[in-house]
Amino acid sequence: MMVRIFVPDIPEFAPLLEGARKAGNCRVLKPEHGYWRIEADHEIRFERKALGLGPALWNSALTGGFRGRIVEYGRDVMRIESEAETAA
Amino acid sequence: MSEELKLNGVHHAARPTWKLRETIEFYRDVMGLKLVHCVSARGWGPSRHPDFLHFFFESGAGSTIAFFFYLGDEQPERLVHLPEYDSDATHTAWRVETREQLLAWRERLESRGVPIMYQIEHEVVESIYFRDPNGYYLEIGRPLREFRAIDETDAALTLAAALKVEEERAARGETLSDIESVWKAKGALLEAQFS
Repeated sequence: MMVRIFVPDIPEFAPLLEGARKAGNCRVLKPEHGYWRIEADHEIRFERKALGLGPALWNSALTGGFRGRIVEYGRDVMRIESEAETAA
Repeated sequence: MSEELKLNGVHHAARPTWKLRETIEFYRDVMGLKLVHCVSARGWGPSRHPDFLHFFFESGAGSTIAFFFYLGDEQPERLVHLPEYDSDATHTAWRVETREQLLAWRERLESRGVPIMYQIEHEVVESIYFRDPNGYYLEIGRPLREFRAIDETDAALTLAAALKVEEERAARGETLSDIESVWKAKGALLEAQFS
């Protein structure tokens, strides 16, 4: 299993892609069907302040859809794990 | 919208008011919108329908914001605008084109004693929010970008996911009560497109 976020190819979500590239454990796949994909084997983790996202965008950051399980989504930290991870 | 049958912007958005003077002074004097029309009429239709004033202020690009003032009518409790998210969902959002224009509106309103509640950059618009004397929530925003083709397909997919989850929940006697389920359902719809 893996965790995957679909990110619509629109400029306001570009900070997510940048954050994923910097994270080191994520793969960022170029857009197909209008969506970027951010993938990781076990966990994707973002920090709002580090991304420079305001609350409005932070709270819709997963609007493109995802596969996995949200284990934390507070004011500044979001963590999504693969579902196998959670089941284990 | 098809070419044959389409709408051409807003003629007027209308709300009731029980504060005649304050409403006129706010829209005409504080905001500086031109009063362009006023209907004054006897009550018509249902026997309880009171006499009324219906007045219109110009709000750009051919649009107006209009109010009904019912003479001798007392405001029913159910129409008192509460400063809550669900009441505030009903609001008018005017468009300006530049950040300078947005900030000029902010300055005008603040200099006339109207508190600006928020200035927020959303996905596609940067807006200021304030209230009129009725408590109605108002917004002035400048578009940050135009809508793209992906916005359209993404919107359709989001709502398709929401309807799917809602239907599944309804079958179990439950309601759609969290966005995480919609995001997961949307993810599954996209997985199918990518596979």
